[in-house]
Amino acid sequence: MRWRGSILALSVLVCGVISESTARAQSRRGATSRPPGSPRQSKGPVQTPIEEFETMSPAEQQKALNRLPPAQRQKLQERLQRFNQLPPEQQQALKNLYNRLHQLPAERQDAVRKSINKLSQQPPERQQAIRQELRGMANLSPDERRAHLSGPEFRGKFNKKEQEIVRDMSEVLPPR
Amino acid sequence: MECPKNGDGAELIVAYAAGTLDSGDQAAFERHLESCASCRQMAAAQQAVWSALDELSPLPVSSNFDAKLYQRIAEEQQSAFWQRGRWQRWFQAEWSWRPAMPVAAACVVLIVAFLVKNSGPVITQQEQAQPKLQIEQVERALDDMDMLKQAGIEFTLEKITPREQI
Repeated sequence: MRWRGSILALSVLVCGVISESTARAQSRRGATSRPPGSPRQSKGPVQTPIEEFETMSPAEQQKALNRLPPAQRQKLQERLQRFNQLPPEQQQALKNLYNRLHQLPAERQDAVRKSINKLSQQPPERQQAIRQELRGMANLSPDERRAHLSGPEFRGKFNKKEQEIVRDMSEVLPPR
Repeated sequence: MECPKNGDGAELIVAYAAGTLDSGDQAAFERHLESCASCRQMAAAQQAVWSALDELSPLPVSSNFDAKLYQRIAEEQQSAFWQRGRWQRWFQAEWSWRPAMPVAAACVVLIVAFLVKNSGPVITQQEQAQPKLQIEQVERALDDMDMLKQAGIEFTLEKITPREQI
């Protein structure tokens, strides 16, 4: 008899905890915010934040911009304007690259960013050679790319640092 | 001896008629009977009852009477147990408020947790009122676009895939 109260209390607590965790899981499922750098899971066409911003109403855009200090707001508006002045093909190409970059895990995204930064520090002729290599790799299948990156021809053409740049940047190449 | 009718008279007279008094009490009571007609009359009536009971012959009892009786008692107890509802058994007469205290405490904990969790509806509404897209995400996307543009690989590669399904 002495245990009945404790059993009832335990039952009430268990029910409460279950319903609470269920509600929390549902609210998480409904949440739309995604931490920066986390890979995307969507199967359909993905909008970049720039595209999402452009699909907002002018009032919503203004509301979002108003959260920034005036100088930062001005700078952002100029950057958006410059991006929108690029040829549509180049805009789309950059958006595709961006989406592929954001499909990668956070640490690989960082590795790609570092390699792009290292690329810009290389002599112009080496930059050109690396871009040429990536262009050639774009026509290969994933298996062929892997084989190419571990092949003697590739190793003979680039030093260790350049090889790393090509290997990292190849992760944002479009699928053949 | 004081007259038993003034105190525990009935018990004393019944015990006398049944023959269960010790010898001292019995002798004292018999001495009293010699002088008390009323007690004498009651004692005679009691003895008549005892005599009549002695004349009754007991009914014959079957040899397995005890076993059958205990079996029947057990069956009736079992039947009564299942006929009572589960909740009736749960909250039967032994119920007291002491076991209810943990239940009440658990309910209080849940209610407090619920209230604490939902104490910020204004904040939630403010969050909902804000655009889903954070402007900082746009800034970071532009940083990435600039970086990818700097890489200089977008023209040659993206001719292949105008708009990708991710």
